[in-house]
Amino acid sequence: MPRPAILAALLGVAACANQPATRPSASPAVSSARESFSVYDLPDSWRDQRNEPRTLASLRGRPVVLGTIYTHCTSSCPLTLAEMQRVAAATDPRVTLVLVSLDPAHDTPERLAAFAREHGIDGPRWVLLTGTPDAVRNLTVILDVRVRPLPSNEFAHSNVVTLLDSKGEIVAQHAGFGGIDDILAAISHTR
Amino acid sequence: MMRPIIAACLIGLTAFRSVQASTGPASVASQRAPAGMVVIPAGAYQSLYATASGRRVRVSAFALDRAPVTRDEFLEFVRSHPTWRRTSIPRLFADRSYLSGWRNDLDAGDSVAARDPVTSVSWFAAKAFCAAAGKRLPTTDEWEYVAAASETKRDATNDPRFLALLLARYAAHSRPPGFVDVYGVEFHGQVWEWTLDFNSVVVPDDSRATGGGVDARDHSLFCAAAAIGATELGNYSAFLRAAMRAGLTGRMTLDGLGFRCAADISV
Repeated sequence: MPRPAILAALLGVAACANQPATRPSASPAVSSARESFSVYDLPDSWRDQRNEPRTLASLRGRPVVLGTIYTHCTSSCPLTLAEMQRVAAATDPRVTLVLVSLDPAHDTPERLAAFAREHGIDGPRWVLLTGTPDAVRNLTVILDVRVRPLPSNEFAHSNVVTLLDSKGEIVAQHAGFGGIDDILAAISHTR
Repeated sequence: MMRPIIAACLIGLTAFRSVQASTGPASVASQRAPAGMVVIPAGAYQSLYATASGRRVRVSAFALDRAPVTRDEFLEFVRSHPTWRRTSIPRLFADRSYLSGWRNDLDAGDSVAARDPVTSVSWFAAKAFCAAAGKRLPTTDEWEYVAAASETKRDATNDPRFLALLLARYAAHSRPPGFVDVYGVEFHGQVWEWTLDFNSVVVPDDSRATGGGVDARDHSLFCAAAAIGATELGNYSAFLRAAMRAGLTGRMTLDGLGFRCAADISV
């Protein structure tokens, strides 16, 4: 890697670490040189909004911004979606936006397709995934997303947006709202 | 010398009693659990965290390992499933302290150590072990439901003496082996234990991280946060376990964190 890019990458990481709303690189989920791993090595099978079978490995090759929601959530999931739409608008097409459903029982591929149309995210940059409960559990665990089922088919969950590099390693995460700029800054240094 | 005999008699008596005293359907009471497991009849427990429907959580009947998985048992697993050995496990599934107490991939220590609960295993490794045995990890509700039991009562959480005993155990620097509870399960022993849905504890793990103090009612951090709230203040050991789970991530391995398996049963 040429030196200016290394310097820019280091500055990018340092900038992220100084932002309190974004988890610093010491967060257990974020990859570090000592503990690098790819989320895309999770072997589970998923289906996307086009009802195509997918593995997470199919996301390799470009940066991914990933959020977890469920389509009938009316509390903060719409805000997560809005933040990810901001990311989409502010980045070039190489960045893929991935939404993973926390409620696969209700979020069928057809439901995801309808949701994507309703929210204008049915373009090629958006991947909506539904999987088995075990697949969802493996992914939320590796991303350190907390999820608790509630009565009446609702879910309490932490609002986390994750930036993955082209290898599927976790570069940055943001919890809560209002700090998506940190994700954007990290994207500019992410391959 | 007498203690193992007395213990064996007590185990036999309590197991007999638990079958006689269980209030589940007759088919559950007479159901034979797989070897090394105990049938836990259906019931309910007071969850630490309130939900929209209250705090009483129902648990269906299930089978639970009598004791945590031992080093010996885990060694047998990695012998036949080499990808889970210390030097070959993918970094995705465990951090670098995985099985750190072992002398090498297939040496779990001497015969005494081999009977100890296995520790320094990640959630992914524990899950794989249980799956290989045709089982699964217990859910947090199942675990806490059994945790409410004393040697004589299924739900002893209103018994101050029992709560004090638990507190003494959990606060001890070195925890003694578990006691055999009314179900015939050895519980509240030397190790913290993984549960299938440990990541369902939805509280901030560090309120300093967002500077200014934050709790589970911070709606920006948690979707449906208003639904969560701790309500039981007396069961401190339950708080300790919840705090423990809130700090765990799936790749984490800790000396002092082990697991046992559960299984569905047909009623």
